[in-house]
Parts: sequence; C-alpha cells; structure tokens
Amino acid sequence: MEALRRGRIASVTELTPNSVRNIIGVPASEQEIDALIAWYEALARAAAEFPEAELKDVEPPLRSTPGPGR
Amino acid sequence: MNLTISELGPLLCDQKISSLEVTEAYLARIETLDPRLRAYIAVTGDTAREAARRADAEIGRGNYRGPLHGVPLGIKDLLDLDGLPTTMGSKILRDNVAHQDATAVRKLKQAGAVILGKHNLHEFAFGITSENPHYGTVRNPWDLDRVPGGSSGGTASAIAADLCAGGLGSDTGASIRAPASFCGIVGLKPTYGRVSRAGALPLAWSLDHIGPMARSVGDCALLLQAIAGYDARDPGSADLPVPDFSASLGDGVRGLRIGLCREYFFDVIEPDVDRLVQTAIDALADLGASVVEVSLPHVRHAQVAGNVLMSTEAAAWHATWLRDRPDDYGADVLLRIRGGLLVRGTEYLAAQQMRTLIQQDFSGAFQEVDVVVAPTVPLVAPRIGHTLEPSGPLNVPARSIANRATIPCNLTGMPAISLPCGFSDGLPVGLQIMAPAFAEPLLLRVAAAYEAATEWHTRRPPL
Repeated sequence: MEALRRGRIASVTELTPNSVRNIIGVPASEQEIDALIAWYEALARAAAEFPEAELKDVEPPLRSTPGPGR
Repeated sequence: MNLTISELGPLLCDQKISSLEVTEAYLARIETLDPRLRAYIAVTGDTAREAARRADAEIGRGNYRGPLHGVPLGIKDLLDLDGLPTTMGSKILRDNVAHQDATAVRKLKQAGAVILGKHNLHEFAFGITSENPHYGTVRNPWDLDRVPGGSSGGTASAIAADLCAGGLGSDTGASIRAPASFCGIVGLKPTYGRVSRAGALPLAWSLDHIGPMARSVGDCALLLQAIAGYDARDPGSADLPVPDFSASLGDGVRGLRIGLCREYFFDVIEPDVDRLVQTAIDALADLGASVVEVSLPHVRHAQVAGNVLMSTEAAAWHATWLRDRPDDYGADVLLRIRGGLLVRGTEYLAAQQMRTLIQQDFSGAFQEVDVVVAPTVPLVAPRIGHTLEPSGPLNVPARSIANRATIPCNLTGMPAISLPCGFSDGLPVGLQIMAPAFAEPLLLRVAAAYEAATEWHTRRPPL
C-alpha cells in the first residue's frame, strides 16, 4: 500500500465496495465486488512501480489528428 | 493430408489433386475430430465445397491465382465472414451476422482460398486458455486435458490437428503466439498497421493485430503476402509497400546478430522451456549468427502496462453490454473487462508512456542486433480448469505469466513470430523472434533458417 500512497497512480484505498458499485452501475454480488477490488488493487500496485521520473520525460503515443482536408 | 500450404499449392496447381478432394478430406476430419477438440464454432461445408469446385474449374482453365488457390483455411471467429455470425466467442454476439467480409478474409478469398469455417476462441478474445463457456472448451491436440492457448486457441488446435491447412488469428497480448507455442505450430503477429483490422471485432484498438497461423514459416509468409497491405477502412493501416515475404526465406542467418535479453525473458521460466530455447539460440549460433546480450530495462513493466491498456480499452468498447448484459459474460472475462472501468485516466496514460519507454529500449537494442529472441511463453500448455491456481514447475497461476514475453511486441507494434523449438514431456515449446517494425522479411528469414535446421515443425500430435 505504501507504493500506492506515494505513487502518482491512484490509491486503491479510495475504492470501497460502494464506490465500485457506483462505477459499474449495475447490481453485483459482494463476491464480485471483492474480486474486482482485488483485481484492481493488484494492477494498481504494479502500475505504481512505473518509473515516475522517466515517465515525465516522454509523451504517450497519442496525437491530435488534423482532420479531413477540403 | 498432413501437407503444408507450400506442399499443397504445387499439387493443386499441377492438378495432381483437386481442391474439392482436399476440402472433402478436411471436412471429414473435422467431422471426426472436432467433437472432441471444439476448434470450430461454425463449419461452412457447402460454401467450402462450392469455392473448391470454383477453384478447380479456374485452375483447370489455366487461371491459377497463386499459392493459396484452392487451399482450405479457417478463420478465428472475430473476423467477419459474409453471411455468418461473428460471435467473438460470446453469447452476446451469437446472432451478429456479418454483411461483408473482413478485409483480410476478402483478400484470402481473392487469392482463391477455400474457407472451411470459423474457429472457436477465448470469449471476446480476452484470455489465454480458450476455455469458452458458450461454445465449449477448445482442447490441445497434444494432450486433450490441456488448453490450446488463446485467444486464437481454436485456430491453433485446428491447424495442429490437421483440421485446416492454415488460418488467421488475432493477437492483442499473446493471442496468436501463445496458442502457436502451446500447439506446436507457427504463428506470426505482423507489425501494427501491416494487416488491416477492418471487419475484425476489437479487444483493444491500440494493441490488436491480425496475422497468419500455419504449420511452417513458409506458409505464414504466403498467408501474410495475401493479407498484407494498406486499407483505408482501418485507421491504423500503414500506407507502405508490401515486400515479397518469401524472397529471403532461404538466405540463412550467417552474419546476423541475434539479441538476447536475459534480464526479463528468462527470469521466470520453466526449466525445460529455458533449456529448449537456449538450445535453439545455440542452433542459430551454429548456423552463423552471433549472439549479443542486449538490455531492455523497461520491458519488465510491459505486462502491467499492456494489461492496463487492454482492460481499459476493452471496457470502453463493452460499456453498454457491461451495463445491460453482465450476466451474459463468462466470469473471468467479465472481471477483467469490468476491471477496466476502475482504471483511472492517469493510469491509462502512464501505461501509454511506458509504451514509449519500451519502444525506446527496443530502438536502442536494434542499433546493436538484427532481431531479439526469447521464449514465446515461459511454460508449456497448462491443464484445463487449473490455469488460475499455482501449478507446474514454477508453481504460479499459468494465466498470470502467459503473456509476459509476448505483450512487449503488442506495445511496440513490432512483428514477432513463434515457431516450435522442442518438446517438454510431449508438449510443444515455442521460440519467439522479434524484429524491428516492418522487418517481417528479416523475421521470417531467421525463423526459416532455424526451422530448416530442425525437425520440430514436422511432428504431429497423436490423434
């Protein structure tokens, strides 16, 4: 959890069963919600290990497109 | 049967065998074996026979179209085939009838290929096992108790079991190469933009690739030749010339530099897989290549970055069904796609930035080497029903590591191929070769040199 707290990546401590229910927008069992939180927690923990300082030096490969010409 | 496309083509061209005879033989084998393998979702026997008769008539008139003319193939059921549902292995799309062919399918037809049917897959192409709750679990022909890999598991199983001569799969994180590895066939993920995705349903737009699967490197080159090229219907399509993918297959590897990255690709790997891949690298060295250690310091983040992108992009495409039809998903796929709803924008963008860093790593490596080699998957095909629990020599859940060696090339868009490099307790192991963007001829050249020096690709499962 320390990695999550210090990281720029979202902290899973903000996720509660109710907030997850709000995000998915449909009824789900307690077991499903727990599994979702566990899944996200594992991913977010791993993503918090991305090298933050190096990320600041690069752009994501996303570009605005000029749109159709005349 | 048991012929590769490269072997079948000349026989058809010279009318020593008819396309209809070959097609009937495949259809009979499908009827016998597919109830066990569950490799097909739909078999199009009548239209296949019709196409075969047409091919025979054209060849008889001297209008031979080329090496795929009259050759029976199968396609993964996420590519549109005019008049049939494109189910993507899902219940939700069971009645999603296509009204035109996907571009890659249209090109196969233009090359004269006979389409035998549509192959089973992991639901929505989101998984590496092809344990499909709606169309049956696809079986690995080498051991029917094991998964064939996925998501293009039906295509790999069908090719390995000789239920078609070759086919088309898709690859978002491993989905051509992992099943190729598990089933002992060859699978090629081309460069992003080389093959049109138009008419292929998406899993994750920025990672999806369409590519060939077959029994030999030469066959993959022939299939790629037919399907490659610019297509305005695909916004990611590259408007570049298409080279002759078979031209340098016999040029060998003498003088080439083979890159080896031990820091990631060999740190989590079953001992037998490690041994077989090392032996394959030694074989390439014996053929005249030099082996050079390279460093890819950011590649250790590739699996996480890829999984963030995949789940988030999938969640965006599935948003309405996640709300309206959650009960129509299999549990494993619902979890991963729904999980994408929880990923934050900053996390998605951080994963995209990781992609840039990994691309820079490979760009640096390719200043020193021509290709990079690695295992395709760090383990052999796991047992059906046991892929989520720790098992095997590594004692880890197979699903947690199955795409770790393949997903870097989905992030970078570089081409990569898997080909058989040995067997562990009767189960195939795959060697992965990665090359710079649009260097498929080089990739195929290295793969063909290894294949020509070994006999692994000639083995057939004991069905």
